[in-house]
Amino acid sequence: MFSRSAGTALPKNGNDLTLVRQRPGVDISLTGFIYFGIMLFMGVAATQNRANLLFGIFGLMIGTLVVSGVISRLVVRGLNVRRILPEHGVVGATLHATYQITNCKRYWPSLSVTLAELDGVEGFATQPQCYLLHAAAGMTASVPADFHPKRRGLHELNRYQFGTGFPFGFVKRAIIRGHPDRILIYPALGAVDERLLAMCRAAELTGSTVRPQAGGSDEFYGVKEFRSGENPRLIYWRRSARTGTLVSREMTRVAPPQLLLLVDSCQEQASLASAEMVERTIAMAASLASVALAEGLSVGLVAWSGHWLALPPARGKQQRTELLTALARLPLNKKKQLPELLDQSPALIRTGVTPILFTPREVQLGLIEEVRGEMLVISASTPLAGAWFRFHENVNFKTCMPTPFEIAP
Amino acid sequence: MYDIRQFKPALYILLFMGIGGFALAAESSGALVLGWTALLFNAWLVKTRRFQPIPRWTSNLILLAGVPWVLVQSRGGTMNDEVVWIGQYIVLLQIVKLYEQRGNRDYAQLLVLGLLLMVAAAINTASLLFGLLLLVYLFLSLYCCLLFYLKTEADSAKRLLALPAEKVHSATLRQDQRYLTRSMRRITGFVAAVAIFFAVIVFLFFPRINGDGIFGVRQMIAEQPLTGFATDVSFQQVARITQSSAVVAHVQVWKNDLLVKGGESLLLRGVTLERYRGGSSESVGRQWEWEHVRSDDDGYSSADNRVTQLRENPPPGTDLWRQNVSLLPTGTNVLFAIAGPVSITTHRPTRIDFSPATGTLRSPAALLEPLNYEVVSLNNLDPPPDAEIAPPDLEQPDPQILAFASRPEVCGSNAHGSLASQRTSLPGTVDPLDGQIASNFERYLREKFTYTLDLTDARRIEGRDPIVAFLYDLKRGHCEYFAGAMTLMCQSLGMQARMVLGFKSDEFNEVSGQYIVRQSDAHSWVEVRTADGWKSYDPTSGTPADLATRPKGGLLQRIKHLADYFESTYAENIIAYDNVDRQNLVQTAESAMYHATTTSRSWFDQAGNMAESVRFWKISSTVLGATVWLMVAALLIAFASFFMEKWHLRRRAARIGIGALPIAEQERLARQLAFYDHLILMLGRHQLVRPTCLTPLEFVESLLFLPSDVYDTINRLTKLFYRVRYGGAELSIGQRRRLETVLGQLSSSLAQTPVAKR
Repeated sequence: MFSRSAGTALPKNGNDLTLVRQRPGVDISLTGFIYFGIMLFMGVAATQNRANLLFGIFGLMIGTLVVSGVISRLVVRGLNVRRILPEHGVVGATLHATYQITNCKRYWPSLSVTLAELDGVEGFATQPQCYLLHAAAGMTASVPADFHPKRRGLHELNRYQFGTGFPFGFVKRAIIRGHPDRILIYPALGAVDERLLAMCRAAELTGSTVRPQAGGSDEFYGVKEFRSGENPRLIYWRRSARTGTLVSREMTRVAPPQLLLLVDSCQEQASLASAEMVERTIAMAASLASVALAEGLSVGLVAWSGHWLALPPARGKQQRTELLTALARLPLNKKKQLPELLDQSPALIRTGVTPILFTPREVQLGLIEEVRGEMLVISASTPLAGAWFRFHENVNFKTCMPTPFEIAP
Repeated sequence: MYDIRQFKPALYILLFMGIGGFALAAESSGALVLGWTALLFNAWLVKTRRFQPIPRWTSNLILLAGVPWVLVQSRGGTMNDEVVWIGQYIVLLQIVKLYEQRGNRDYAQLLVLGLLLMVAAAINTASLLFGLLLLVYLFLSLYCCLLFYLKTEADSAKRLLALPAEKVHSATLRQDQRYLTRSMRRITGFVAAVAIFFAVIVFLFFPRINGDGIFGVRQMIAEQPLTGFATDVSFQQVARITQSSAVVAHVQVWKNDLLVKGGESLLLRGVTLERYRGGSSESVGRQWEWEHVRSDDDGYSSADNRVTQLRENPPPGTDLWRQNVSLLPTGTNVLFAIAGPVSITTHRPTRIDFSPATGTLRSPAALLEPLNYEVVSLNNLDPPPDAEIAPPDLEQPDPQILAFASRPEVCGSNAHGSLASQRTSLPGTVDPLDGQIASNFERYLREKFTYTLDLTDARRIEGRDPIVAFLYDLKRGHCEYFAGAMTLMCQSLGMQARMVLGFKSDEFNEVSGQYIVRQSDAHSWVEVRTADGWKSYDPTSGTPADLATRPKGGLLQRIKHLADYFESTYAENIIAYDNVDRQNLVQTAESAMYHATTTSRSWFDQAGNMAESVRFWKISSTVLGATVWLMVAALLIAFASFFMEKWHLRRRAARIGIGALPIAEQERLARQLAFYDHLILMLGRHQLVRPTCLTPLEFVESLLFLPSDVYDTINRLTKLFYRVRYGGAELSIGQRRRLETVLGQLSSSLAQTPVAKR
């Protein structure tokens, strides 16, 4: 009835794997056995007593047992499921999903049906399931369900199992159906200390971060032709009178700082502690990226994702999605170490860009790295990292990796 | 999540019915009052939210204290008493559980206890009312169990999923509850139908054991003698007889195969009593009792047969009275029939003890369960010639009885004096005056004596012969006194006379066509041997002389008869259904199947013979030809409609604007978008034509001048068109039908609205 997820060897902490309960196709419950016993007793009483009413009751009990097997089979058949999943989830945060269950039967309703996912369960702390009280014939019922993601990455949901004990709980039926769906789980996003953000926003050591750009309202930048819809207060009347064409002033705005996140995901040792640090590193990078983008900063990313991934700094929701998706899908990295990561970064580091190195271990930058420019180093193994980033207590970095961790013998 | 609110009211109704049913079966008013009061009080407490469950130790204490009390009460009683006490203990269990209810486990226990209570009641009674109540109870318990299951599953799902109620959208809740009642009705109906089917099959075909079994047979309990029929008559006990209206038997009577529909009293003979033990010293300990005198060469026991021939068949032309008797247990082994039985047919092989001299029938053992039998009688008291036996030796009656009987005003007189003195035949032989004397005795007792059942003030006659006291002092009594007195008076004069105990019924049920024989119909009369043979005399005063002049019963009587018909049918066909009935049913089913098989085989044989005849071939070739032509025509019509359908779909596709798509897609969309085509045509009839340069959406926007409801409908239909055409949506047949309904309403709205173009 209960099984571990397929294709895994048990880590040291065997509780990390999600229990998957797969019911047998037909099962007789304890209630069913008790009922069967009472039915036999009734048969004996009827036979011995010769009270014909007891024969009637005995027959009723037999009929009830037979029909409960038939109805339970009817109830789980003819159901179509459509998962309505959000765009993504976040490790440690509850994900609210909905199952739309359509009863395609023409006459028979479905009552008291449990739906439990069988595939992709390892991405979640508990086996996702929901309970459908009632779906009339031809009707669709929407059933809410809460998922609790525990692993980042792209999770594929496919097979699910309908189970019911309706109408009396004597006979329990279950059938397996499948419908492929995917959901991306972002790394855990924690709260970022304001001091770190301020540090990121501070002026660069190599120069001013204030780069005038058009489109602001600070200082005079230039003039341009006035277009309908713009602020009429910016019309430069004098110049307009002189040229005969309406022109408006362009003002400057302060360009926000640009961050470039360098994520060192190299796992030098094949141990759970090492993997935990890597996950913490990735989660810290994701948290900072999310908060910084929300504050209007430009954020870029360099990391090993099976190939060297380099996202130039940019702003906006699209950039956030790309960054977090990339971080969510970072694979296990045992080869590409820090120096190689640093070698990828110079192309993106330019004036105004603040590189921030996220690494799972304590590092000392050498002379060459010093020459390349100052960068912020955030090490997951330092106590400072714990102060700067606060994650929800539900987050367990030991189980955040995208696939179950295998310990070398 | 849905809160199963109907469960508790249904549970309480179920408990009401369970306690009521048990009280009805066990005739225990105490259990009824206590149970219902406790139930009502508990319901009130729950409704007013004052209910607090009692501690478990209190409930356990009460239940444990009840066990020895039940054991003590039921000790020494019959099996029946034990079941009643167990049932009352179950009532106590239910009440305690009710006041202890905390969760689903307690509700489950209440349901199971209720079922056990009804089982205990079913063992104890054969009443039709209880049977109907049980049927309703089972349906309600089925519904209750379904609700209970939903409740437990919903509760466990709530706990497992840990979804707070405020997080569930109200629309989701509404959707879950929609049509739930209809679904529950369907499921309950299906379960009930299947369960009833199995109940009937098991009831009809499940084998029964032949013996008494562990529990014995307790559903039919014999009545106490003082309320009705008894095989002995004793005047030792002076008391008030309580008449019971409990039914003893239902009898259907045919005279020469014509059903007798009331109009005359039905006399069923039971036992005959010839000897009266008076106050002589020989009868110490058994004084003043009547007894049957049986000689060794009178009577025999038949073999274990269904049909027993009791005497030779009478010559043709003789009136024959056939009685179909459904006899409930009387606690005796007496079988009742009209005088002069010729043959008896029983429902199951039974040994019959028959006395040809007296014409009485008995079974070997006392009847503890119903018995159906059919007797053919002559309605003649005379025994067969070869069954004549010598008169029995009788005790000398009290001289006072002889003196009383000899009075001229009692026995009658003529010119020669009293008839008693003119009787010259030897005692025990027949005299020509016997008939007249007996008639005079009958008349005198009827006219001068009063009928009563209450003799409690007759204790002053203790120590005296009750018959003598009846004749000289009391002048009143019940039928046994009358019959006993007349019998003794006849015997005192040397006449052959005997007292007969049986039933005299006047109540005819027109619904069932049966006489209803009740305990209160138990009666005694006298049979005297006269020169014309044995004759019956009924000296009891107050008995109606003419049934025809008695006013017929009104509506209430008819309702009672209808209820009695149902009760008797229920008792005969349900309660009394046994192995013999089952075997008969199986044999009937087998013979029906065999008959069906043979009939169908003969049909096939006939068909085969017919097929070999020339006429058949001529007819069949004509029929075959016509069939072939019909098939060809049908095929052509099918082809034509197929192509017509295709053509229609193509035209529709062109109108809608999907003519450029592949043909299969065209046809699919043309079917799906039929509603839009009808919409366009409908608008066209109202001079609202879509220009080809406008898209459907633009066309709708140009119809803003229409009334808002019409515009909204057209707008929604157009959006639906887009969803189907471009969004891949599929409309089911039901949805398409609904759209046609909407279009119909739109058409009538358009017809009522004057359309003014911009």
